[in-house]
Amino acid sequence: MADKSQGPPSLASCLLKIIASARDYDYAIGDLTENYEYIAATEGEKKARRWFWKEVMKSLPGFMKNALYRRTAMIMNYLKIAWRNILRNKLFALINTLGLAVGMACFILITLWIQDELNFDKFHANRDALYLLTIIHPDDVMDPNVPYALAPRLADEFPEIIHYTRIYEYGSIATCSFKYQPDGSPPIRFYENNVNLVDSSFFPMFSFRFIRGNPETALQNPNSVVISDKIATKYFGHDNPLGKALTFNNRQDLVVTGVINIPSNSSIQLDFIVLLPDRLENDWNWRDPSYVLLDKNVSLPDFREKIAGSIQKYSNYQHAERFRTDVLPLTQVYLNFGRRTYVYIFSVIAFFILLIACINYMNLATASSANRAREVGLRKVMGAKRSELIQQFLGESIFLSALGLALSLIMVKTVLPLINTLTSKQLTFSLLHGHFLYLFLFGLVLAVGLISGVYPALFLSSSRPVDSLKASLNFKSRRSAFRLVTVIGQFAISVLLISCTAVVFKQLNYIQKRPLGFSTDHVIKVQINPTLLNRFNSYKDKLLQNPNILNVTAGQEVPYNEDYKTSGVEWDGKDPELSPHVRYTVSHFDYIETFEMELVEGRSFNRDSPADINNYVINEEAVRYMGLAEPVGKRLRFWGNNGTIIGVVKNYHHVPLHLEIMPHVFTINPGNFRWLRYVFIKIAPENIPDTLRYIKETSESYAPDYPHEYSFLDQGIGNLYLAEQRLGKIFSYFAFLAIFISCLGIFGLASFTAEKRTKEIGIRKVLGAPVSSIVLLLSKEFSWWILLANIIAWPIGWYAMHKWLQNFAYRTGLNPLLFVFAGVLSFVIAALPISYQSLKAALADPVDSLRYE
Amino acid sequence: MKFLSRQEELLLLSIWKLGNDAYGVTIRQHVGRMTGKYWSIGAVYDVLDRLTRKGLVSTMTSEPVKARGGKSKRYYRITKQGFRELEEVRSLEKRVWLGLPEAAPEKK
Repeated sequence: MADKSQGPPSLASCLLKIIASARDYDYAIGDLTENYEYIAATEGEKKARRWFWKEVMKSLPGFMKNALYRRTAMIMNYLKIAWRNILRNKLFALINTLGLAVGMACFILITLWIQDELNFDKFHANRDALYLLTIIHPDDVMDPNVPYALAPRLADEFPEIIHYTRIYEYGSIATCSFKYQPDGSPPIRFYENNVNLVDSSFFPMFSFRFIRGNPETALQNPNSVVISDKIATKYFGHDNPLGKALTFNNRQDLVVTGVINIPSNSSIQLDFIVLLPDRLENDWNWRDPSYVLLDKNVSLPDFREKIAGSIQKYSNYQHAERFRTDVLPLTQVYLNFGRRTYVYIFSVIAFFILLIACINYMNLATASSANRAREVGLRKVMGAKRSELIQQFLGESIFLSALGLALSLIMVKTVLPLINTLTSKQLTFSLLHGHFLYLFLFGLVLAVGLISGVYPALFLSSSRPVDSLKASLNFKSRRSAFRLVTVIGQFAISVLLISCTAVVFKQLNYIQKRPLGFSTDHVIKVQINPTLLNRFNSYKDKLLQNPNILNVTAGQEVPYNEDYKTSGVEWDGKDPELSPHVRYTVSHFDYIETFEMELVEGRSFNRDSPADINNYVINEEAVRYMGLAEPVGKRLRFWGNNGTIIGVVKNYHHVPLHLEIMPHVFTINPGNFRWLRYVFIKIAPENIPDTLRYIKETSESYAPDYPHEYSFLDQGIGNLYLAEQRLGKIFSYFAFLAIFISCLGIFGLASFTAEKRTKEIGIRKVLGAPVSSIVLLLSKEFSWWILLANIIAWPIGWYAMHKWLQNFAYRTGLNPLLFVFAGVLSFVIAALPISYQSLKAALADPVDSLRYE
Repeated sequence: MKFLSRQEELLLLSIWKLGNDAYGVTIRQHVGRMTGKYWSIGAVYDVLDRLTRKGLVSTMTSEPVKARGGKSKRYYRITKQGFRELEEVRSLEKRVWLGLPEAAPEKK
């Protein structure tokens, strides 16, 4: 036993001191200490310490109640004084509440957004046992798509897999059209691309809510189809779709057996669900996702290890040993493929904007400390303790932050619909349901109040009564270092956001203006269908009879987003070890001509030379990749088909500019024509409505059973960069808010400085100083601050944007001028409030300011 | 008229019994020994505060004591009102027990 005890835990005593009133604290801590020493002496220090903690925690509620009870009168007084202060300094109070409200509104919105992001796929009852099968490529890239044969093979071998389902995205590789024939009215027909084939365990695995129909029997029949509620409305209006027939591609009737609702926070979004007719046990094509439901008792690390080598085990792929099979929990799928970064970025932004608002409060409260110094002095003389004063000021800041919260809730309510359209989400307060919402809001008020109030409280309560009660106000530049740092920090954040916004927009501009290497002007995309495909040549000739139709071809995908890869290519002199990776285009004749791609060597496919169906055109990158010196005339084998390279096309952007241009092979082999999905028609810029009508009439006369849908090709390009456009927009809003709150703060500070120096300005004016020199005098200080803020923000902004630009294979340079622009902008915006205040002070009549001296 | 709660009664009796030495530690010790149960300090204070507020006990603060980390003790003493309330409880007890046997009858 130690002779000298350590004494009771100081943290616990401290806690007691904060909560209990001073009177209670004294004897309570005495009693506790006495008991503590006794226990320490008889049962040991360790036990005593535990006892002490326990007793303190247990007695806290009682003390808290007591403390409040005894202090009611004082608290009423605090409230009264706080209210009077607000009334006296209406401007400051307004700036503070508005700033805090905007900051909190921002924070609440971003929290809701993040909550929604984190909640993705959490609604499934089996959420903890659902996994996505993934394949890790040799370069460590995780591929969400796995061969169709993988899941059934794994399920056969491993009893750990209770259920599995593939989602065969049929609609994205083949034309799907549906027709509903209501009684006595014209048929309703559409093309659909979200058509999926799934395994029978799909509904037992996922908890999608059935609005109509029975989940157990819905997919028993291969002629059944389950549709989403959106599709149900599209085809059936208000009728009950159950039991009605949808005709698929004019050849098969599918009976609707269920209507489901898929929440917007599901990463699996399906419109048409049909049973997969085949087990596809030998289909090693690699395109779509597969999900498994694992036994809850399975040790995940063991299971992952067991399946890691399964590609090599089951398939006869070349270099299969380089690929690793893995699983990813369903709840992480959404975040894992790109969203996590955004969650991080926005959390940081939310925090910073709130911080800027808190800093405003700190600065204004300390700047106006002179006004409160007398009150503090008097309170101290009357016996107030420093801790009580700290509590008073903290209470005030919490009070203001509560006001701010009330205001921010109104703001959030107003802008929520706007945010929802911007982010295409359905955010509501119900995301933080029940008690958690109140806890969150309460915590927010408390945190904001404490963060913004703690420094002013310490600062204000520290003044010595003798100083503050002496008539002179000698508070001038005390502690302005803190203010300096915070204002600089505030502006640094604003400049950072402005420069980031500028870079995002510059990159957007760059990718939208960069020549793609082909032309989509006046090219129309028409959905192809089996009837049209069968009579394609005749259809094409008929179209070309119109002089305003310049070219007609067909392809599998739009040329600017043709993200199909294959390794089924061989050429003379290929390294047998190499597993090649090329993109390809399956098309009809005249593809290269329709898009006006440039040929650098050889020729394109010619309709008059039938042998061309076995020939290939490749791009420059492919020439480099294959190491061919004289590419034209060389032999190439594509998907087992021997042919000759007849031409080389200049590199063009076949995928969005995030990705590099890869080797590319064009084939017009009719064996692949079933993959064709679109007719591309180049038209003359004259008389477009007539041409469109002609196309429509021709298509309908050739394929009367199918709908006719078309769009202009260049419209789709913008959609490739939707995420970036959205990011740019959101960034610009945040930048605006940050600079707005910062300006509120600097406005308040400037007005305060001007007020403090009223007399000085008066004397200067009496002595003949011109207005301009006084304005300069007052704004000089701020200018230095903002300059410094810029110098801090630039390297951070440069680094962050450098990182972001790495997402793009083709990117704009980081122009230093951009940062200078952000700096100048911040200057101009900050100059408005500063010069307003300075001018006001400089133009005031010196007689008023000096009269009382 | 509201009667004393059992806890209040127990603490009042302890304070009475302890006479001049009734403060937090001793009261808690005494009541703990009498009832054979663990009384947390918070629970004791809670009741003591209630008694003080009702005016059943008066308090007096001692000089700081070194053994207690330099803190003073708060002594409690029963007021006249306190004694009256105790009387009240005692007579109530007597009245409700009147005519009942000491031990509960055995169940048949």
